[in-house]
Amino acid sequence: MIELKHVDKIYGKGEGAVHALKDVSLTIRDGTFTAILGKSGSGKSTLMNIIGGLDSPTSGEVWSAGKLLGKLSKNELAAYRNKTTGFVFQSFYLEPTFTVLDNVAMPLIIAGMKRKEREEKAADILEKLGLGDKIKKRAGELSGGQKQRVSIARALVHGPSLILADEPTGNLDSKNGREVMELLTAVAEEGRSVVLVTHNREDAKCAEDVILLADGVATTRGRILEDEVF
Amino acid sequence: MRFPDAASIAVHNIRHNPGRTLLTVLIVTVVSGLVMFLMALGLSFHDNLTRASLVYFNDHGANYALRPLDPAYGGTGELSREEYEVYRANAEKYPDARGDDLASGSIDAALTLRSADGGSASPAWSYALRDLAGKSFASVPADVVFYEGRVWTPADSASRNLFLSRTLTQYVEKQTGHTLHAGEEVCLCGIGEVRRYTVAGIFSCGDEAACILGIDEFFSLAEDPGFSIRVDLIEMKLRPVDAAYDFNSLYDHMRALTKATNAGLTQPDTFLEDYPELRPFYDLFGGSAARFTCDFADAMSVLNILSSIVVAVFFLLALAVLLLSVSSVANSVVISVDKNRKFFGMLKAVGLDAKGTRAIVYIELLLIVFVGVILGMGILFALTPLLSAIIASLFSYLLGSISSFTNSAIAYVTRVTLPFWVPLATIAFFLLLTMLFSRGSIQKIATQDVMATLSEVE
Repeated sequence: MIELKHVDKIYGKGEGAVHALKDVSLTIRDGTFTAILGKSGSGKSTLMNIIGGLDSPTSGEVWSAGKLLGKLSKNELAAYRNKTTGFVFQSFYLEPTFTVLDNVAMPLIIAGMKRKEREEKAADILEKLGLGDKIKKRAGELSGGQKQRVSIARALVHGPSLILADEPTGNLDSKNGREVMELLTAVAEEGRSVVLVTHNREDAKCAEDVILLADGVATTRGRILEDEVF
Repeated sequence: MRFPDAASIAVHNIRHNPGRTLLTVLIVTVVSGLVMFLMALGLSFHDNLTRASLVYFNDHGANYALRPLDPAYGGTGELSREEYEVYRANAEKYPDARGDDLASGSIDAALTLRSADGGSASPAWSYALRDLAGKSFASVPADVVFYEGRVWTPADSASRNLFLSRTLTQYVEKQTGHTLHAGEEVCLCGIGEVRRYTVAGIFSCGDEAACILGIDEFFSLAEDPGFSIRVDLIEMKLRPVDAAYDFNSLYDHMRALTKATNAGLTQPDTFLEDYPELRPFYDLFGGSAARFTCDFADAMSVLNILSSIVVAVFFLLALAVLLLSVSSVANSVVISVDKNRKFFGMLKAVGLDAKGTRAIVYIELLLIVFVGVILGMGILFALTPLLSAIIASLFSYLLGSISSFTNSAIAYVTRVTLPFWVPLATIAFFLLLTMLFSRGSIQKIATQDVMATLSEVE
């Protein structure tokens, strides 16, 4: 379970300071697909980054996997990201000169896993995501949809309990976007927690829980119904 | 993260910025080459100085090649043809001088003696030996045999005890029609003994030639000398066996004295009390031995001080060059880190910690410095002739100065010295200093939040 208690995030100081998150308190249940829905600049990416240990709050507490993230050292936080979380970014953050296999195996490389074992794991996950034939290709040679799937494979390869996806469909066409959302839904159905950050209501409809974010203020609600207007 | 994986990522980063990497390697190559050049210059100078022989000439022109690194002093006993340049210099300076006179530090005295001796072969020798043995030099019978021997090498310790014999060269040529060359061996058959010598070098003055001999081996005729004698016996005006033996004994004593003086065990004004066995030789050479020790000790201390100063100067220069260049190498590392910031951000997002980040950057730095220093060594080896020429020039100037104010000459060989630890030390210093200079940037990327790393790219 992920729990945020009175989390504030302020960028900058003085008059130019930006209050990205305001007293956010919420709970994300284990094994659920949760969407953080909000407009651009609403603070949703900041919220995701704080949950994932990529960023730290200005104040408040973030509990994840039984750990208070604010109390973890930088190295412990790195280990938390390496073991517990998997990230999917809008701009993929793949290394274009590395092969697809190496990109996917990156969390395992950092964890110190031996080459043979990690390559087997990475190949397995790529096979499952329908990229078995792209293993030896350079990441830079792939299409946008393929890149995002590789990115998802990288987020899953080390078996994390929490998947964080920041606008994963943002750079994709509708067909590829749908495929990515189907993939994330399938991941959630396997029992992992998936947190989706999106401004797209259609994407958010895949989620069981939705956190609405507006000007840094969060409100939690249930699933968005197919024909719901809000 | 395992080391091979960190190294693999470091290589990736290097390849990601080929232009910058090439420039950095080039800087490291040139600077490390220069640093090692300066260090090699200092070390070679020091090494060659400690190998240099101090050739002392007493008032009668007799000479002693005293070598700090003679095997008897715990050294290698190496010898080079360059050593004879000292004699050549005398030959140019005194075109009328002949043979042993050239080895004299007091040519005028030697020429006077030669005149008093009726122009016999070796005034200095004859004077000393005649007195010592109480015999006329010309009347001493000896046998000389020419023997073709092995090629002389600089490392041949056999020729360490030098003396000159113009007479021998002439006799060998006259009797055998063969002109002696460096590297050949000569056997002298004296009374009851055979001595084998290696000709260490030949020098000429005007129309005459003299050779420099090294005492090689001594065989009693009662024993098998181990080599054949090819040419018939001839008569030769040579030193008597007893005198020769006494001279060798003197040489040994002087060597022991030199060693003791250098070790501070005795002083010029007390050495006769410490070494009473030298009294006969001291008297024989007109009581000048005290000055000899003094001159020698002075010259040795000048050599030692000079050597230390030269090494220190070149090492400081090397350090200065290193310090000046390290900032540009460090800057290159900073730029490389900056260019790979997005990649590092991604790695950190998937769990790379500060230790892993530093490992990647340092391996990257190590690879660049290692390749640069290896290439720098290549440049250094290409510049070896230049290095050798510089050392020879420095030697010529500095040692010439020393020789001019001591009753001695310094014989030397110029050889470039580059111990294995020099490139290792260069790599270590480069790494250490570059790490120090780029520490801030590396520390920043290693410890800052992932989003801070990524946002600086966006």
